[in-house]
Amino acid sequence: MRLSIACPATLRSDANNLAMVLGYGPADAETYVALNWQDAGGNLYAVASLPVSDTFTTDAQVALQRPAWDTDNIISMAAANRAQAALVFSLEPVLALPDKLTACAGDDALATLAAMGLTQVEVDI
Amino acid sequence: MTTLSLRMSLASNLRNSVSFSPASLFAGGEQGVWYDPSDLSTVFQDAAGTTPVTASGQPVGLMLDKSKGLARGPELVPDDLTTTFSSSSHIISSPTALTASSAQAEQINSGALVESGKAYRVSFTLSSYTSTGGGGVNVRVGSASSNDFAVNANGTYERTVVADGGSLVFRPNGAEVQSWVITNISVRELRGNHATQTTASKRPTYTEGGGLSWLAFDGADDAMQTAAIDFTVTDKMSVFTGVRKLSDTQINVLYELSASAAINGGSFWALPSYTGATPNTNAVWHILTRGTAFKNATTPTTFPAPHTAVQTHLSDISGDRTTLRINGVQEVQNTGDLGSGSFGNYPLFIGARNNTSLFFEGNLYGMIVVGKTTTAPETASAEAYMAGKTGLTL
Repeated sequence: MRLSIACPATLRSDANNLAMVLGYGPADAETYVALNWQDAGGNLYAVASLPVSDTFTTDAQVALQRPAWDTDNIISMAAANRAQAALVFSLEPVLALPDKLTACAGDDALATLAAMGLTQVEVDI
Repeated sequence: MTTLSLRMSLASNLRNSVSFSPASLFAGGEQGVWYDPSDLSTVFQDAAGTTPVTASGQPVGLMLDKSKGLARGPELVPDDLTTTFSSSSHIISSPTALTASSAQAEQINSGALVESGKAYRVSFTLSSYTSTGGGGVNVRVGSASSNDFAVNANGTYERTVVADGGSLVFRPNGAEVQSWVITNISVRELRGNHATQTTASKRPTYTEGGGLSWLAFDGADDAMQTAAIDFTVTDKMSVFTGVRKLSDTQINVLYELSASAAINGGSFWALPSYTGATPNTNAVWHILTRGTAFKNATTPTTFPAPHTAVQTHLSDISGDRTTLRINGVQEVQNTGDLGSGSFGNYPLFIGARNNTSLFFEGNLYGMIVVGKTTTAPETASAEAYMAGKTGLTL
């Protein structure tokens, strides 16, 4: 299953902490960076899209544990928990919201993001 | 040309395309990259290289560059281990072995041995291993524990690892590890300009189908990049890619030398779509070469997505040539002034601008970048090779 995730600007830091908890290392703090997408109201989002295991959505909603690699306490577990509280999972595309971390299933990332009401911000080459 | 000579020419071309290896383009020591996703020995799921890609659908965090023949550098571990490795009291170093004899969570550290960002082939033998659990001995090439890989049975191990720090560390993973001996340690650089993606969600997906193999980029956040490649000795460049674009409604980047070829001298890009040129549609292939001045080249023909192509990008700064070939045919050449200077010492970005925007949606079947002007036969052979990887017949 592929998940495409829309992260509003205000949740980026929290969501990157959650990404480190659910991911593999400190580099996952770079999951949500550029605000390349926007909704109909002009709210900006960073997006991620990745194949996940069938248990990912369940794993992401249980009590979070600091990963074994984080011996230096890089992760703010408080921030990760805030991001988890803002998570919305859906097997069908739903509109991204500016106060939610919205994750929708769909094989085609761009089609899923479009169905979430998002369009790419024009970037000058 | 007589019928006989034509037949001989065709036969010669066929022999050349069959026997051609991209390695020959680098025989003179030219700088560059050669990526071949169909070679599973060169793709790994994580950026550190600890988990090989074994099946379609897995992410790719490391793609090794074959342009240097995956040649190994000199041995970095000295004959006498005691001159390099240090540890606390429960691990004993001898000239030939590192021995831990009690359940102590102590590590042995090589000190400065490797360079962050470079790939290494690491091998060693684990013996006399005893444990009351399954923790194993963690091996780290660098500084972050997320880079560790664990071994928990006697044997000889060999891994490709990209260092994220300067040292080689052996560390028991938990107090249940009772004893272990490490011998035959070898660390040698795996030379090349390897492409990585350290952020898990941004890794393209290794995919197989129809006898072909490719990296699938999702158009949302997938990308890879190299460390800086020093192209400053040349003002000539030849790039060959086997590619299928799945979207061209938005401008996106197939590859780009430097964080932005729009501003950095000695750089280049290729875009699977472009606006602002004739024809006024995104459904074109587009390239740019920049010396101290820049010129671009856009196909006069439209190639709407989905479109599969062998795309060839030839650049000569002092010769003022920016040439774009699609499927073995020269589509456009711009002979405008490219200024002066050489190409730069920049990272190569694949599938996005600077790993952060203009994400490419499509498949990459292979890529060759070589810091020279390829001859006409070399160009034809490289295109034929890439066509084979891409499932095209030129």
